[in-house]
Amino acid sequence: MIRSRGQSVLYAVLLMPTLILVFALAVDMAGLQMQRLRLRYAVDLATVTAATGVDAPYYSRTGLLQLDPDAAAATAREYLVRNLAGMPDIEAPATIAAAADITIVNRTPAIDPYTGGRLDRPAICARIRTPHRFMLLGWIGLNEVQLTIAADAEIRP
Amino acid sequence: MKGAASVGLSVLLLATAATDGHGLGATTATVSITAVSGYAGHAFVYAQVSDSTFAYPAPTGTGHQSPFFSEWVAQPVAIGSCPWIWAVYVFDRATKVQINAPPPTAPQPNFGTTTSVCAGPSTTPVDQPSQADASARLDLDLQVTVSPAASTAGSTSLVSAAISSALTQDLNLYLNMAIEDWSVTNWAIDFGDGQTRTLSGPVGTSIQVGHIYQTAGRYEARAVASISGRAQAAVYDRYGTVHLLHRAFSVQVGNRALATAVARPLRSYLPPHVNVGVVPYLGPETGTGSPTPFRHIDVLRGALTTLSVHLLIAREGLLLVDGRPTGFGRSRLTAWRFDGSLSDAPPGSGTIPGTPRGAGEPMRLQWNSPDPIVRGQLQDYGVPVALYVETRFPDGHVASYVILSSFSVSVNFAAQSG
Repeated sequence: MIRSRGQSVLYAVLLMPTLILVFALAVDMAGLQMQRLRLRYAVDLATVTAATGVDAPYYSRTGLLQLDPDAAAATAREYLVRNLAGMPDIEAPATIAAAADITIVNRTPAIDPYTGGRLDRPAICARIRTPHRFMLLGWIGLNEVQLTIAADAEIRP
Repeated sequence: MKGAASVGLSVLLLATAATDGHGLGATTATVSITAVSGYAGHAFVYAQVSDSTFAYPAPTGTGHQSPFFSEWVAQPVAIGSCPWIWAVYVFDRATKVQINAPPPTAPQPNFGTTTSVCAGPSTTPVDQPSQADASARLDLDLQVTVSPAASTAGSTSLVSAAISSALTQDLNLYLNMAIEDWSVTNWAIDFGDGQTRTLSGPVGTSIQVGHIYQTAGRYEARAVASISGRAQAAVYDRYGTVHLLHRAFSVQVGNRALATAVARPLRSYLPPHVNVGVVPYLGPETGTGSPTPFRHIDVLRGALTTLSVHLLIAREGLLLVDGRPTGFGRSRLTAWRFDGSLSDAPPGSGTIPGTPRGAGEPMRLQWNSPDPIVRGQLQDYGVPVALYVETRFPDGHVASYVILSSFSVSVNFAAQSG
């Protein structure tokens, strides 16, 4: 009986940290995924909005739609700032937007330089990098990770 | 030499004087007229006055109806049989120009006239030899032309006729026969195709009449001028009194000309093959030089698109003459009409269907829905447009056409890839 009690204490001493670690991992992983999802939405919407930045002179010359590189990139950065500003744990939206990688692809077919996806229509490709701070995993020294989110949007029928 | 000439002249004058006439109170002259009509371009009138008994020279001075007058000047020649002569100087009454001046090479004695008579104390200027006849001849030539000689059936040809005349008349010292008073009283024109025309009243010696030969063929146009006039003979008695004798005459002169009317070429005008082309603008139309119009364009969903409408000519209008291509026309867009349904443009900003618009007016359309999917495939929107085209052909003919055409639109929108 006494031996059984000692085994329980041993279990408690050994398993409790493991359980706590598992719990922390679950919580922070969920937060990480939620943040990744929010960031993905933010980048997606910014690129979709920027994909309306049509090169008007080219349109009149050819009757075809393609993106104005300057206008589309500016629009993408503008909407990145707007979308990131309302998100939790994003400390410097403007800095992230300014540092975002943005590529305008008007000659298709092409490959998205950030996602590797195939592009058949004029598109804007964007990629942001932002740190994500863990809530619980810091106990074991894992304070944050760098999140890289990429998305693209194209003009298509 | 000079003496021999004088003797010869005197003998001649005396011989002439030997046939002296005698005075008469009234003239016994007769005037005959011969008018010969001709229909091959020539006619003439011949008038003759005859007075085999008495005829005397016209006296000096005015008051006489002769176109000439004469002056008699006594000239001594110192020949026994004819010690002096009458030198007769005859002048045109209108111009005062002497008409019987001798040539420079005339033999002596030269008194400045070719007319002289030996005049003795018992001889007077009016007691001179008679002249039996005087005549006048009026030649009439008629020329008829048709211009152009070869015309197109249905076009106007000009039939022209002109009379030219030549008058030869004796206006001498003793008897005058003149034809100076004549005119055309009537023109009759037979165009040769069954139609005729008559011009009456005061008509001139030339006419021009337009005529249309309706069918192809060769025609003989004839013109006949009816001419009336009178001849005047002037006879002088021994007292210098003029007696005028008038005789009316009428004559016809005709001629013909060939006219050719060729069949009117059958012209037909083929309309141009054209399509509508558009140049898109996002926002207001901007001047970009000479943009290339398109039959298919992309548009951005939800964006009001401005379209300038142009004519895409696949083949110009063609002029056919007798079935053969002769030349291309030049077409231009004068207006257009949007025949589609009301677009998604905001109220008051889009083009209303069914209303003709000027060629320079922009079309404004908007699509808020993406391309429809038919049998699993995206299908473009068709935009029907009626084109108002004006074509000017090489012969100046201008034709207007309303040509139905359309262009296609692919509605694009921004979306995530994949």
